[in-house]
Amino acid sequence: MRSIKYHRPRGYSCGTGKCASCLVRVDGTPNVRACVTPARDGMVVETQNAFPSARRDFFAVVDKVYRRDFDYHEKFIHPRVLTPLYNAVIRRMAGFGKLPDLKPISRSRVRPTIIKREVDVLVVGAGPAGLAAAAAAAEGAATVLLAEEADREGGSLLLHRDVGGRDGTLVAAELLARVRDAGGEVLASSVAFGCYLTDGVGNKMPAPGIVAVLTHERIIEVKAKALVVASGYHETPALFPGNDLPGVMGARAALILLHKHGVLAGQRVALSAPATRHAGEDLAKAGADVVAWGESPVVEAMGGTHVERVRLADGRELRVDCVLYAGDETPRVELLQQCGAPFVASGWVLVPDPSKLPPGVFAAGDVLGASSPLDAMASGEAAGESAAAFARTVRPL
Amino acid sequence: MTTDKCMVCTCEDVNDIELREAIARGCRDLESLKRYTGFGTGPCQGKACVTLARRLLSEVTGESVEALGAITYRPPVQPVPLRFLAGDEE
Repeated sequence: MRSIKYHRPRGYSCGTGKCASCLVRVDGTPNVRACVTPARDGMVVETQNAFPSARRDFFAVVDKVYRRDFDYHEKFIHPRVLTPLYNAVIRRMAGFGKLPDLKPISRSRVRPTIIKREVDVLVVGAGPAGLAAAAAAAEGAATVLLAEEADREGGSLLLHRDVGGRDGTLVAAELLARVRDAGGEVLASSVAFGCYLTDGVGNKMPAPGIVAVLTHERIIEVKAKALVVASGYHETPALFPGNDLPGVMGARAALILLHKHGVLAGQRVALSAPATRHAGEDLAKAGADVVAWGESPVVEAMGGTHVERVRLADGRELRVDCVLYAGDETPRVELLQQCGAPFVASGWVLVPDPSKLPPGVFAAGDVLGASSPLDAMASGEAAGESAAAFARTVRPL
Repeated sequence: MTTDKCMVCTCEDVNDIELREAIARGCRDLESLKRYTGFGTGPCQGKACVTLARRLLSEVTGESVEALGAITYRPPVQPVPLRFLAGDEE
């Protein structure tokens, strides 16, 4: 696809459905996140935001004319008489995709149902922290629901081949079995998209209120006595010119491609920072040529519709087809903010202050700041035990 | 060919030069900066770009990360097709 304002080439970059760089039109529906949409036989996938194609987009001239910035507060407002014309042109050039075909809409005549559920403990995120939290809570005799956004449980465990000397995939499977053996319910492909501190008619509710989960073709409104947020982090791009070129991506995004989909992100890889080392080692093992290991930061990425070269801080210029960034991971604090949690600074990011979370709300793992899978598991165990203990003190909902 | 701008918010195509210009014009807190430049208002609703914008703002104004704070994350925090929100209650 192309970006909305400058029509710059974009491609796979977060791998988790958390950015807008891989939006495509699928079977007539615009803005589908390609990185989290399984391919099906006969699927019609089209590029969007580009004319005539993503490879050669005439509108990319905007990026050349406005080399530095484009301040729409001041441009295309004079003379006033031309405003309708400007608006018509801008509406054609900018924006996300085109309206959906009418067909897919008329096909689904059945209205989806909204289900209400009450549980002792709701755990959001089935990475190392969330799985451990759900296991500990379920073993603490609480009714537990674990919601994981991805189509497979495990989170970062699936991206580590060495977790305390064992394959992360096995560790994830064991934790998942622990949750199920203790009676916990696990929902994959299920995203907790909001925490509401009001009931359906506007009365205030104490945290964690109602957590809305979009699961298989329906919404579940979960009323939990205790909530464990183990939502992890968003990868934060590094700031250098060309940081949005296709082929430049998060280190985790490259590990997802490799370990989940068996795809090598590139043949000649440059690491932009030392924090990407784990990804570099795994890609090298899988056959990629890692030409820079992050000892000298990437200061510019260059290329046409894909990254072709990078310049490093030490002056070297290297031919590459993939650049990985990491560091400054942004904790995924959205739900915690909606619960009323206060934040403290940690480097350039904000993390929840675990000692000041509202009663009944717990946080575990990378949402508290980046950690190793083993540390995340320990933090999840503790949060799960506390959540189950808290749930026992609450009157029936 | 790349230009010298660095993308901060890839959803809305907001770069570092635009953010610095907006800060110079008086957008000295995250919400003002967001409203003026549009960073964080695209499909992802400001998941990671907020970290980069906060860093730029902190470097220019000298304000602390904690004082600059967070933007307000309203539900839905991930895309939800409208037909589900319009669903029938059981």
